[in-house]
Amino acid sequence: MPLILIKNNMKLMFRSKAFLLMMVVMPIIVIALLSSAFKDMMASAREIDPFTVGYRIMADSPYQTYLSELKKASAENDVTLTEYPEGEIEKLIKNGNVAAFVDIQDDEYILYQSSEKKAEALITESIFDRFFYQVDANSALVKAQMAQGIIDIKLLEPDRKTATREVLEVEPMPTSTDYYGIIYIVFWSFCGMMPLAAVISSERKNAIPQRMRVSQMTKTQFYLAKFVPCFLVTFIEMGLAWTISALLFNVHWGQLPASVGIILLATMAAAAIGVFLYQLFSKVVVSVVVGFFLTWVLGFFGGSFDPYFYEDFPIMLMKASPIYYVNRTLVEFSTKGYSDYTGTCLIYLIGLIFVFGILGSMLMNRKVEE
Amino acid sequence: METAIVKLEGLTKKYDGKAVVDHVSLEIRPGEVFGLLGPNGAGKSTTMNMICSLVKPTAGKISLFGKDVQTDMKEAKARLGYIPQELAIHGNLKAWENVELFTSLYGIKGKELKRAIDDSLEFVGLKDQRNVFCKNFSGGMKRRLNIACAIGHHPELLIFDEPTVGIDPQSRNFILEKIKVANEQGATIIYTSHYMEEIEAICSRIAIMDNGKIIAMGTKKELTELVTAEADSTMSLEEVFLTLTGKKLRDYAEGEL
Repeated sequence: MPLILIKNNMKLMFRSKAFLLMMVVMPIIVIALLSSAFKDMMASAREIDPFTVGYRIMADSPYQTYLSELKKASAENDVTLTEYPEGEIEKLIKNGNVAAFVDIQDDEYILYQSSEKKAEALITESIFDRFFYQVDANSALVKAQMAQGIIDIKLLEPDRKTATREVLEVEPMPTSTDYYGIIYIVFWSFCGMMPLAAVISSERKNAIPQRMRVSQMTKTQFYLAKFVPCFLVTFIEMGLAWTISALLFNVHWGQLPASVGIILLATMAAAAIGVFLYQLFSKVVVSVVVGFFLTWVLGFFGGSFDPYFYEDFPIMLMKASPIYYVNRTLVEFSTKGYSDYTGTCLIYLIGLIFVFGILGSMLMNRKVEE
Repeated sequence: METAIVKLEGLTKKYDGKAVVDHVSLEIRPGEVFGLLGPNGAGKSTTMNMICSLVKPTAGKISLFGKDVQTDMKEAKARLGYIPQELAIHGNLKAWENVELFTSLYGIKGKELKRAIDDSLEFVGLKDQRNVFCKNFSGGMKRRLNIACAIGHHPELLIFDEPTVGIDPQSRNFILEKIKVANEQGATIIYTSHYMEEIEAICSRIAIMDNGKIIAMGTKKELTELVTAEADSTMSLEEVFLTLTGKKLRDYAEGEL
């Protein structure tokens, strides 16, 4: 391992004030601006004000018995059930008297909803569904026991504690600060090829590649001398931006060791792609422009600019972007403490390091031989 | 007779079918200061690059220290120091960091590396400027540092490709003096330059190249004898050179060679 060459290449990268500014200060500024700009938008998805649901019930409906319990269960979820025995349901919803309407019949109920209050309708449906499922289950159990003569008791009262414990199956939403605080560290990690430009341009401006080729360095050492400092410097710079943004804006990262590991792999993947691009194009500026454009496109489909849960792109395009997997994994670490995307994220990043590592190394060897 | 440190046999390099180095054969013996002289586009730098394995020959054979470079270059590289025509130093590194970087490429480390850095900087007179960033150096200082970066591993063969281009007379004189010192300390030198007086001042043997071929080779006295019958001629090397290569201008567009 050419340690002294790696050390000096790192010095060259750290001494480039422009790149230091771009990799440490820029992410902090962008996190501050975007998390503040989209604070309301993200908050609206997280919090729903208490709302009223209208209902109508048939006089001989068996569910009449449970209405008082249902009202209590709803109230504990900030939902007020108000009876409207008459009147047009559509008008009630359109006029804003109720957020949704439930027509409870003999053995079924119909939920009416408006396109503006989809979230409220989903919550209502969830409460009713859970409640009636448990009532029906209890009734069925008692009926079966009575039929077999095992026990002769009246219908059980619904278990209020169980009935009111609503677990809604939706993804928890991050705050705008957490979301942008995480994804912009990811985005800049993928810009990790940029600092290496300080070394490559200095080498190419002078006759340094010639001098190196006259030395005893092997082709593998040539490659490592670019790849290792590139990802180390990016990782250190990202660590700085990460720490400062977390302290300044109170960004919550979940599963810290795993998050650090994923960011490290992301910087390694970016470095592998970067070394490949610097070998592919003879002009440094062309490599930087192509690399940044590529990162921008991957970020565009991966949720770096518009949160991935609001994006309307075909899922295939989103899944083609490694940034999507990294963003989703780290955001879910923050909101849920785990992510089902971790495995795919790791495979994607390791795959990128491996494939672009081989391609970059092959291109470098070819240039040395030329 | 001592084994030649450098031996070229029928060395040829063609670009797009055109020979820029054409069947060059020569031997350089240990302890020599060998000058390679020629007009622009004569093939001097291409020959140097082939000796350093930077360019693959189209035909012919190169032996360094008695070994074929095509098959066994690794050991030869450790004994070779190359000072390219262009500066090969990082402006954003300090003087000592540049020497450290390039000396370490030869596997030198620890105390030996520190000593090599001190010795190299002292040799080129930059010991007091060791902590100065190279981008702040004058042209002459950069040229001297360029040399320091190539001598840290104590090479037996030093190849200088026009090392005094664009510097002041004092720096040029200093470099020439140091090349003599390096030679006295045992290094064999190959030196290419446009400046006749430099070649005349330091080289024990000279080859004149033109159009890719060696048209004359020998000591200055032997070269003079080729162009004049006078026993005690006072012809300068420049006059000998112009007599041998002609006075026609040699203009080459970039990329022709």
